[in-house]
Amino acid sequence: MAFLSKGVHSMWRSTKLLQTLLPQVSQSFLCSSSELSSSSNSESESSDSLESASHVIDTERIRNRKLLYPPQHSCDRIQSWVSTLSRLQDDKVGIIDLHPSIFGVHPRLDIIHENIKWQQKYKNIDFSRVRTRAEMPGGGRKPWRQKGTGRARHGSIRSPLWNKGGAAKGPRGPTSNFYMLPFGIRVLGLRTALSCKLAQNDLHIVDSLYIPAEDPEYLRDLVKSRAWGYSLLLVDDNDEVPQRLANALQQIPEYNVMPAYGLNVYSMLKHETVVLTLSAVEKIEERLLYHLHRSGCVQQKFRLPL
Amino acid sequence: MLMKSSTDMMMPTSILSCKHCSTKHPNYAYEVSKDPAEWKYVEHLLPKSFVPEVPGSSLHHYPTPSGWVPQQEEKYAKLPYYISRTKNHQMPIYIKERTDSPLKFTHIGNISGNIWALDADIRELLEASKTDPNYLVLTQVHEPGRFIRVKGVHADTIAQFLIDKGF
Repeated sequence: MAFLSKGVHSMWRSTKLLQTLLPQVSQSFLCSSSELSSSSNSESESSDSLESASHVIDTERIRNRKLLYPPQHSCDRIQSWVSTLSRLQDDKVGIIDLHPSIFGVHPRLDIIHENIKWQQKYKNIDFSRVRTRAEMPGGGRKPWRQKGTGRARHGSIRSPLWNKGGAAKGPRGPTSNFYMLPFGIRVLGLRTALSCKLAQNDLHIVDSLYIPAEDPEYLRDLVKSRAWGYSLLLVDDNDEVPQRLANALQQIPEYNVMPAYGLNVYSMLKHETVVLTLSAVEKIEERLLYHLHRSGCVQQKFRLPL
Repeated sequence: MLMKSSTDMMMPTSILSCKHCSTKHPNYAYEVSKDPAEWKYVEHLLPKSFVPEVPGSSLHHYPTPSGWVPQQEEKYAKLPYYISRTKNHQMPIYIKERTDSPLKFTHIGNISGNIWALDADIRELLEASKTDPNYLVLTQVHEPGRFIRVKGVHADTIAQFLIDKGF
């Protein structure tokens, strides 16, 4: 319900904003890149020009990126383009190496299934509950005497054999479905989901989450022009979302943003396209490679935090 | 309590506040040092958080006394399959036993590339090395799981075969 009402609300707001904010948006298009002037429909002054001009793509960082635990043989090499959200068209600003044991593992669909089922189940509480014969009203009196009537012997009208009797082995909620997936399976699930997304061309890497305009139409146009599909998941290392992006995403329910520590298999599969920033890629690789290469046992007994 | 990170030089002060050091042991004479140069000898004793990488061949003569050898890319480069070592630089070969019967099988994991070519090579190896003519070489190829199971205990034979191939 919350999701629905958010959608309706955002539709109303976006139509209103279309009338008010479009001029502003196209100004920032103009100042961010000159080629965009043809696609924008406005010609008014810019107040965001300083901020737009101040966004610099850190190409040095893209070029100098080094892999932790570099792969042992060269046929494992996996590369990806780095694009930017600061321009509408899909300009490539660099190319980076991705770690093959994070982004190039075999597509284990069974592992993905295990992770999805676990995420759906572990926080689910089953509240279904039916009454037993003891909880039903009445039924204390023997309906007829034991012998002599010619009928079957019965002691209670709420016996499970009776119509409108109590349930013999019904659900007795609330029941917790909590269980913990083995740690190695969870790590492999993240690696598999990232690899599958990359192999299907549904994972893209951008330099940062900077966008020049807070109008949701800018993001919609960007996603449409790059054929990123219906839904979008943006992942950054930082859990503070830039103000413009936050304002834009507030009005588009199918586009979401998430910090790297919240990345999970369910969300990656729920959204059609996953967009990682360069910092997020580095963070994800660092954390997953730590678990792949750390000393001692990876699988440790899970204890609920008390 | 002892240390937070090996790079931080905050350990000598925290040693003083350690509960084990606050009471003097009567039988041993010791002194407390704050010298960062001496801390590296303590670091040798602390457990490592990461498995260290293989030292270069200049440092060691292979095979080591235990028989361990590193991977040799020049040997396996032309093969259609590849087997990566485990994080502890060991061969990913295990002897497993079924829970419902004493049947043992050899599990070969971490396979990438053409798994069927490796299966054919292993079958050929075991056919050639079998002593009992009635022994039947049975293998299972799990393509999505990237592993091969061989009936029987053949870990040493297969490990030596793979080391010869350069893995």
